[in-house]
Order: sequence, then C-alpha cells, then structure tokens
Amino acid sequence: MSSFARRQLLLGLGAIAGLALIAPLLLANPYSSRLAQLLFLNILLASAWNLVGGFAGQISFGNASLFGVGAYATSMLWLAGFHPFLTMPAAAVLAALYGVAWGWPCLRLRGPYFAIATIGVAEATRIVANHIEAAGGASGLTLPLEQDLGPVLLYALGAVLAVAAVLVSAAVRRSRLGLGLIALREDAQAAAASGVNVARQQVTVFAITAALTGLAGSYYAVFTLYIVPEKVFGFDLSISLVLMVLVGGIGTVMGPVLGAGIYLFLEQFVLASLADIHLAAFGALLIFIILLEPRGAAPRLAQFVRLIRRRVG
Amino acid sequence: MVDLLSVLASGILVGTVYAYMAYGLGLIYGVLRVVNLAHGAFLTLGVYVTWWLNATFGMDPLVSILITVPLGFALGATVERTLVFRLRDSPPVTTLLLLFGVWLIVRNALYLIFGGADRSLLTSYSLESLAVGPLTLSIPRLIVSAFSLLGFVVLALMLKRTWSGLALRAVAQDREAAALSGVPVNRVWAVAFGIGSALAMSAGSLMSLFYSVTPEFGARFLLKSFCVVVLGGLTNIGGILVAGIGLGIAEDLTAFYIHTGYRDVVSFLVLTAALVMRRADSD
Repeated sequence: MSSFARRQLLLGLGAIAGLALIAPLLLANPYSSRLAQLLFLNILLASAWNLVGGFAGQISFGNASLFGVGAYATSMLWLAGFHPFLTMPAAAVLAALYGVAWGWPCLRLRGPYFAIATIGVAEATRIVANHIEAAGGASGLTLPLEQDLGPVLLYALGAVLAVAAVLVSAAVRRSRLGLGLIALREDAQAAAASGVNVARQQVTVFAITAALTGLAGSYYAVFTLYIVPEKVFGFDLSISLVLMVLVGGIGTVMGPVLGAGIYLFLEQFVLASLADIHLAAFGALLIFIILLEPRGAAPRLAQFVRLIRRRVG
Repeated sequence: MVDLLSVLASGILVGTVYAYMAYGLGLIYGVLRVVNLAHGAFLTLGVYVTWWLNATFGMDPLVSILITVPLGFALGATVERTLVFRLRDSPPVTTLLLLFGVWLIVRNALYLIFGGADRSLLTSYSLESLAVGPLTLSIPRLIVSAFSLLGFVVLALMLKRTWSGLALRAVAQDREAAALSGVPVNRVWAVAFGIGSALAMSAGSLMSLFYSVTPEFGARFLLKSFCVVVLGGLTNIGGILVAGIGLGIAEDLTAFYIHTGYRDVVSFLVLTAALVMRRADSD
C-alpha cells in the first residue's frame, strides 16, 4: 500500500470516527438528522459531479438522469422485496450503465455543446419517466414506511457514502486518470497529442460519476421513502449540483464538500425566509460567483488557513 | 391520407415559428461565440409583455411586435454591456452559466409579478380557420407563420445589404481581422445581442397566439431553439428554416402517431443526436 493510500485511508477512518462522535448531536431531533442526511447527500452528489465537471471540465446539466435511475432502481427493487442495502449496488451499476450509454456519445462534445446535450438527455429521460406506468408514472412511488431504516442507520449509511465519495475523488485527482483529465481540461488537443486517451478517460470517469450519483439517488429514496419523476429527474436537481460545486470551488477535492455545506445552509436558513425569490437568489449568486469569485470558496478558505498558520507558527 | 397531410401542414406552420424563435440564438452564437441561455428569458418576457399589453390595453399581439422588438433590443444590448462583455475572454461555459443566472432572475421576477398560473390570450381571430381542399388550417397559425417568414426575409436582407449586416458577418467570420479593418467590434457585439434578443421577444409575441403563457414557457422553447440551431447550422439562415420545419413535422408526427406526451422528447433526442453527429468539438 502506497503512503498516499495509507494516508487517505487514515483520513477517511478519521472522518468516519469524527462523524460518529458528533452523531449524538445531529441525531438529537428529526430535523437535525434530516439535515445531516441532506448534507451527506449533497457531498456525495457534488463530489461525483466534480469528477467530470471539475477535473475534466465537462459541465453536466444532466446528472439528475443518473440520480433518478438510482432512486428508481432502489425503490422498485425494494418494493419487489429486496432489502434496501442489497438494492444499492444494483442502483450504482444501473446508473453507471445508463451514464455510459449516453455519456459515451456525448462526451465527444466539449464545452457548451456537451452542456446542452446533457440538458437534452436529462429532459428526455424525465418525460419518459413520467410516462412509464409500471414505475408509477407521474405520481411516483411510495416506499414501505414501516420498513424505514431509522435515523441511526441512515446517518451511518450517509456518512460512509459521503466519506467514500470524497476518498474516491481524492484518489481520482491523484491518479493517472485524474492527471489525464486535467490535461484534457486545460488543452484537449495537447492532451491527446501527449498520449492521453481522451475518449476512454472521460467515459471511465463519467462511469464513476454516474455510479456515485446513482448511489445518491438510492440513498435519497431510502431516507425520503417517496420519489416522483419531477423531483428525482428534475432540472432543478442538476442545477443545484452545478451551483454547489461552483460555490465551493470547482476542480478541487474539498471544494464540493464545502459547497455542499454552504448550499445546504443557504437552502435551509436563508431561502426558507425568502421562498418567493429563491430562484432569483440562486441566479444572483451564480452571477456573483462567476464575475467575482470564479474559483469558489475553497481557495479563499485555504488562504485563510495558511494565514492563521503563519500567525500561530 | 388526410390525417397525414394535415399533420404535415401543421408541422410546417409550427416549424416556421420554431425557426424564427431560434434564429436569435444562432445569430448571437455566430457573432459572440456565446451560448445564450438567457434566450429562454427573452422568449418568456416576449410572451408576458404581449399578454399584458393585450389584457390591459386590448392590443393585438401582432401590433405588440412594434413594442417587443425595440424593448428586446434595449434589454439584450444592456445585458451584453453590463454582464457578458466582462467575460469576453473566459471559456464559453462561464458565459453560459452567467446567462443562466440571468434567466433564473427573470423567471423568478415573472413568478412574483404574474404568479405561476397558466394564462392565455384570445383575439377575435384566435379560433378562426381556413379550409384548403381537405385540410383545415388555423388562421392564427397561418398568420404567425407568414410573419415568421417575413421576419426571416427582413433579417436576411439586413445581413446581406446593409453596412451593419456586413459588420455583423465580418465579426462572425473573424473577430480580429474585422477589428483591424475598423469594425467597432464592441459595438457590433452589443448590436448582435440586441438583435438576437429582439428576435426572441418578438417570437414570444407571435407564439402568445397559441401557446399558454407561463413563467416556464422559455424552458420548453429554449431547448427547441437549441435543437433547431444545432440541426440547421448555427448561423445558416436557410438551414435554420429547414431545421425548424423539420422539427415541427417530426413533433407533430410523433404526437399524432405515437403519444402526445412524447412530443417534447423528439426535440431533446434530435438535439442530442444532432450535436453528437456534428461533433462540433471546438471550444
């Protein structure tokens, strides 16, 4: 085991231990445990989006299509009698397959063309999902409430998934795959000329993104116990991922984590009081970040931490 | 047979409007290399301004074009000057996200002012139709289709015959060469964004005659506009017209022979397929 892998593993275990320590605090009431679940969900989703959006620079507006596949896979299998834990690998695999199915052709496009193609795929998926009667059609699926896993198990599941997503993200960032993707983001032609297999690398990382996003969908289904196409395949979900990562810091490992937290805070505490103008608030935030802070909050935070260290040390 | 003919006829009529609605998007892309996600905002603003003028002053939607065109131009040029211009050297995806922000704000403003309810606009000729042989063609659709074609001709003439049109084409072809030959590139950008937005808003005026007015109007037609523009070639007037009609026909065939619910799936799938097949991989 390389020293990097050992360090990552230790960091991961440390994070899990830390999350276990503060668990009693977050599990104090139903609202705070729901907040924790949403935070884990956001971290998982944003880290997954960042693999292809941040490292490879391919902005996807279509991740809801993968999320929905995961959510439906788990729900339908659960309703067919499988234990929810057993449905999660299936959700990941199905989402990855669907992701590769459309990612493989679409990832040949770059920049705005890819972004638009993903909107097309995701919207088509949403409309079709609304019409599949076997999957509940537009009214969606309600899961067996009496089989709810309970807050403790859901917390543990979410914590493991979120930490795993961040570790995957760090591993990809450091791997040959990640370096190839970053080369590709900076200059596609130069990357191809230097021997980066542009097509294969993008599809590989997109499969990882899709599997993690599918797991997120699965987790969502397990803790909300109710899914509808307009929500799990919705454009709003896809947009929120882009915002989270942009707010936190695109193309970094910790940026999506930070963004997931900031987004949850904004959504729960700021927007709750501004429900009427939440779209405009997100729009203004988007414009603000792009014009003034295109690298997001992560570099600022790193700067701040360095400053403190220098003062202290 | 009559079924097929009437489906084709209605597809063609809708298709010309699609082409007109999409043209502004293509023009802005051609000149600025910017994917205008705020196109949806301008389409929606066009429908709402037209609906409001009709509800308040009883103004005919076709007359309100005289207002939506200059208003669209002013708004578009302002967005370009204040926001898009700042990002002229950034990757195109950044501008796309920025304009998406503009769209979110406009959508929200419309929800606040008009609420989320579907509204519709009725004129004296809204329900009239014309019998041509075995076919029955709706009068508003015929009028709108004629106006769209007229708009196309005016635009083509402007681009071909006037100095401003020449300047637009020059910047679209080669920004640096145009600047060196004395074309005021900055002003051309603002003008192109203005014209593109004016086209979108006036398309909204026309479309208010037979689509319901909601803040989500633009979302649906933005993607169709992309579809038309990508299929037809981003700045190719003739191509866009053909693509618009093609999409109109394909949608009507799907709605008639498969399922009405799948009408919009066609445009999304065609959009993605067209993008992938073009392999337009330039950044």
